[in-house]
Amino acid sequence: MAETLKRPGGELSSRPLHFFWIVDCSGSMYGEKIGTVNHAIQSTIPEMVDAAKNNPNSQLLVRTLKFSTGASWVTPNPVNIEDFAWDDLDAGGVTDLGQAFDMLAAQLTIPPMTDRALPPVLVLLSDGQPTDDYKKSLDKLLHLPWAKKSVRIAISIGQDADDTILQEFAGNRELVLQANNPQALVKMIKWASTAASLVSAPASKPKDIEGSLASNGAANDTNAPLVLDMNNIPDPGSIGANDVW
Amino acid sequence: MKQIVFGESVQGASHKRSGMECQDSYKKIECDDGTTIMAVADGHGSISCPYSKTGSYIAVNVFCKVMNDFHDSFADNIEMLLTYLNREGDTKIAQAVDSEWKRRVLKVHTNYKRDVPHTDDGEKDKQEIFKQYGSTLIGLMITPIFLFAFQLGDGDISYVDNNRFDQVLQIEKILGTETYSLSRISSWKKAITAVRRRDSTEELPSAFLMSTDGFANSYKNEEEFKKACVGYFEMLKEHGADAVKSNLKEWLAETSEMGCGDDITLLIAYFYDEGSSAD
Repeated sequence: MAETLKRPGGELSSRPLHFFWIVDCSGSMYGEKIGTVNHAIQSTIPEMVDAAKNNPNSQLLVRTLKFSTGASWVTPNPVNIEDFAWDDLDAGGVTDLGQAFDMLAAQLTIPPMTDRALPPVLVLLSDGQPTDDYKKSLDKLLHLPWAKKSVRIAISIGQDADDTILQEFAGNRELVLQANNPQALVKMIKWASTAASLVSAPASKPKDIEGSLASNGAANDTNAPLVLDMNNIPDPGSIGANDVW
Repeated sequence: MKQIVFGESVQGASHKRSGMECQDSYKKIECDDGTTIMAVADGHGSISCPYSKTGSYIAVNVFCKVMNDFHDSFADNIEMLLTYLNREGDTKIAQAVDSEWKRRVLKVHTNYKRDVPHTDDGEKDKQEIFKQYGSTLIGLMITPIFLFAFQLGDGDISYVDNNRFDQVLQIEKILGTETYSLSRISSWKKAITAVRRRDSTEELPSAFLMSTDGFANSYKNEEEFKKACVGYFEMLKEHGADAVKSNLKEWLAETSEMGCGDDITLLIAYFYDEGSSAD
């Protein structure tokens, strides 16, 4: 009988999956809106932990970026979902979305990202119109290789939100989720959080040989339409609500 | 110089959980003149590629058939084959593999009476059929005087001896889970090849390791992957090929389990002095 030998060396590791919450904390989010965001994200954490347990070959790492007057990391370093705790956010100030995109871009370059990661998930929650020049920053972000590969979801909070900007970020109209009331916001946040479980169990896909360009000039080869099942996005019209933002 | 060629494919840990069969395939041909032809393919396994196991199986068979035909055609003058591959290997071989893979896929699809998608014009949508069988392909032909390497999509062909480790082909790294695929129209344009002459001073022992991306993706980084390849080579030297062969399946299963969860295939060609033992 052949000798049983120990596997040759080389440190093994699951593939990192970076998940970013990017939260608008400007003055217009004050009150019920930011309160609902805090509550909804807090309540999705156990579900994200369960999803991560079901996919032990990926490592779900979560970070929160907030923006109002300026932008800053609430969690400066990636945190394993099992150790992730949501710190309630306050609202006030203007909407420096461009600064948030700049800070995000700095984290999506290689390094600190590695080339063996899974496509990152970026979830942007916003109710307003940017007060800074966000276009240049968004353009820079969307030209980064990892940003092109990312799954980008925008949650549009309230009827006055500028969906054009959110669509530029998401790169796909269907991935701008409408949340015009607290119930819808909770559902949309829960749906967006499931993106992590879908990305963490990937299969290879053939790459288009001839690339195409989106209207903003960024390469239009995002994984999002292929990774996510957009048929089960909650329908805002079916969500009953007493009040509308 | 003696040689031994062996390999193993294992179902990925994540595929075990989801009940999906291993989508990888591998094949080797050893010719009388000492030439070895090896191929490894990784079927995509995504929902839109339900027959990618068949696609990878066809891919390894096509590469071995195409290269074996070339080998037979130039059997009397292998030096001429070297010249031909140097001059036209990157296009002619890639085109031959591409067209033969697509021909066989259409044949299999028809034979099994699988649903035929149609374009808006009512034509048979061949592109859509090819997509259902999507696969990568890496291949090696090692003759007594040269080696020819081929790659379309992800995967690794690594060389190890006592003094060095190197990647035979340097591919364009695509982030995420996408890869170039045989299923695309004109996929041959994305194939890369290399031809290297072997000389009598070649270091022995040495090994070529061909692996699907599930192997490299299971290691923490490039450096750890390199350590693993060197580790396999050390195992071959110390314990012999039979010992490595008998443990390989378990090692690869453990690698997938503790790594990226993908299917893994590793095909090894080990060359050693006649005086030493490989088993």
